[in-house]
Amino acid sequence: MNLTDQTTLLAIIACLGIAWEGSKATGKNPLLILSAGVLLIFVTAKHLFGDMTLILAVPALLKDLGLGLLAGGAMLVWRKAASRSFLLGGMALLGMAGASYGAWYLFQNTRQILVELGPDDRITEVMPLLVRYGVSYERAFPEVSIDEDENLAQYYLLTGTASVMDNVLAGLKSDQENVDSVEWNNVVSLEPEIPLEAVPNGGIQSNDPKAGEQWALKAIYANEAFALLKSAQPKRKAIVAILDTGVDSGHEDLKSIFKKSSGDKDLHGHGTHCAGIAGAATNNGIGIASLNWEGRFIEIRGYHALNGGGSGTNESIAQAMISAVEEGADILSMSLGGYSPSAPKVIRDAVQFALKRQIVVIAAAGNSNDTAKNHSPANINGVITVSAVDSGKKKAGFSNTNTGLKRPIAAPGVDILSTKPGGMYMAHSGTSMATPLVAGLVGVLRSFRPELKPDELYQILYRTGQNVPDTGKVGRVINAEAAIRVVLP
Amino acid sequence: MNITGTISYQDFEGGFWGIIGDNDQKYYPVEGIPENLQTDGLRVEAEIEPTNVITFVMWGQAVILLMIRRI
Repeated sequence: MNLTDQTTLLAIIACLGIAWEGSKATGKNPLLILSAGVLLIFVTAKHLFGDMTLILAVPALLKDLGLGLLAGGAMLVWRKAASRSFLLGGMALLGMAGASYGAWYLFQNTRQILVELGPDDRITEVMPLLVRYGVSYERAFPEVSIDEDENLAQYYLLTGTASVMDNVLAGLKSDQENVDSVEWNNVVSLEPEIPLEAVPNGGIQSNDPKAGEQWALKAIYANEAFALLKSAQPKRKAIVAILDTGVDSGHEDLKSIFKKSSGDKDLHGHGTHCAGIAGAATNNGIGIASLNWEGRFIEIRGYHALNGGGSGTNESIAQAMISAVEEGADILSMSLGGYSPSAPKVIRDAVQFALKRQIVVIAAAGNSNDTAKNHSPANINGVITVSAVDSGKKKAGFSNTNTGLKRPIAAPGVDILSTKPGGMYMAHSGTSMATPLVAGLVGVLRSFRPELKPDELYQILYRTGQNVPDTGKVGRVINAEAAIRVVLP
Repeated sequence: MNITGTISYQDFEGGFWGIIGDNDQKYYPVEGIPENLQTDGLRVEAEIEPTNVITFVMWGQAVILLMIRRI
């Protein structure tokens, strides 16, 4: 029983005592009335001078007294005594409590914290702190059991007013007995993109009308790869999960390769662009080409890691990763990230959750013209980190370098033509665009050899990659033809 | 923390406004820069609070802008 339950019970007992004595015509016991009064003073003091902040203590006190008066009123009704003042008073106090709570919620900004408890710890062990600051909690990843993953199963999402959450964070950080990690549930945001001119290029072998505008396909030897894929049979289709703003599953160049998933609507447009790069149906006489020849090698699934404004939280990104893994993804394509020399633990745990299940995790290196060592999730061990090159296969001016990390690779990321919601096509730039190109190639590799582990797949990319003048900064540029030859039967 | 720097427009990954500090650090205000200050090369001083927020822009240090004015 927590504090508010206890005080509510005491207030009800006190009011029942007063009502009982008040309903007697004669022989009233002054000691009982006095005791009830002391009990009410105790309840009031417990609220006002207890651990709870005043702004929460007042409505809690009003609620307790209101419930007490209603209970007393009910007793008076039962005793056929005058009950009106008790009942009206109780309702008035409850109304005031409700209004106070409502105003508090309306005018307070909220912040969220992700806390990971120890494997043997329960949320009740930090409950006094949560009650003191009026913080609500819920399991962050309820679908993950403790047997499945002892880290992710122990994450809780705490929500409270911004003014108290610094104290909550500090309190949790000092509780080393019960808390393994604690961090803000950060917002990840997405910026709108500026359409850029596609660079024309000829010689595409597919019949997709816009393929001639996709210089990147030539740069990664996709034409030669198409010649191999035309007559090849994969063991199964690989599933590439786009963790982004969702995917316009009805787009003319995506609908045949989109696999039912929660992010089947794009709230922004960014996710649809990435999806087209990774796996747009190719040689279907529509739109653009990818490495997904005739749609026989890759299926795309979409997950809302980011909202329509392009922002998300550590929790929403981890949740999207978990959902994609549990629904059978082979590759997680993450065109998102940010400055964080030490990656948030919940994202690191979600990456490990995927890697333990042999899921390939691919992330953008970032656009700060800096080292990706300072950017997360690109800097997490086990992640393939993708930098961007331009049409001259030189490091794109904005691209972060990635060679200080364990799995660096590069792909075209400037003026990349792809799908946009509403049946449209546009070119954009960014390491966001280079990332799904790598994810698409890894998808094709896994479609032939589903048993290959993430590191083995990366080694194929690395060994077959193109050495370019900037390889020392961004790693080798992928070569689709050479990589696919390695896995062909 | 107080900084002085220059407003700068970046045309990749969507196009966005940031501040390049006199210390050469890049600062990305996650809630944007006021429209009347969105001028490439404008000198400004600002009070900022670095935040661990991750942004899709992936450019520089994400910050919350507490105050900004031209100088």
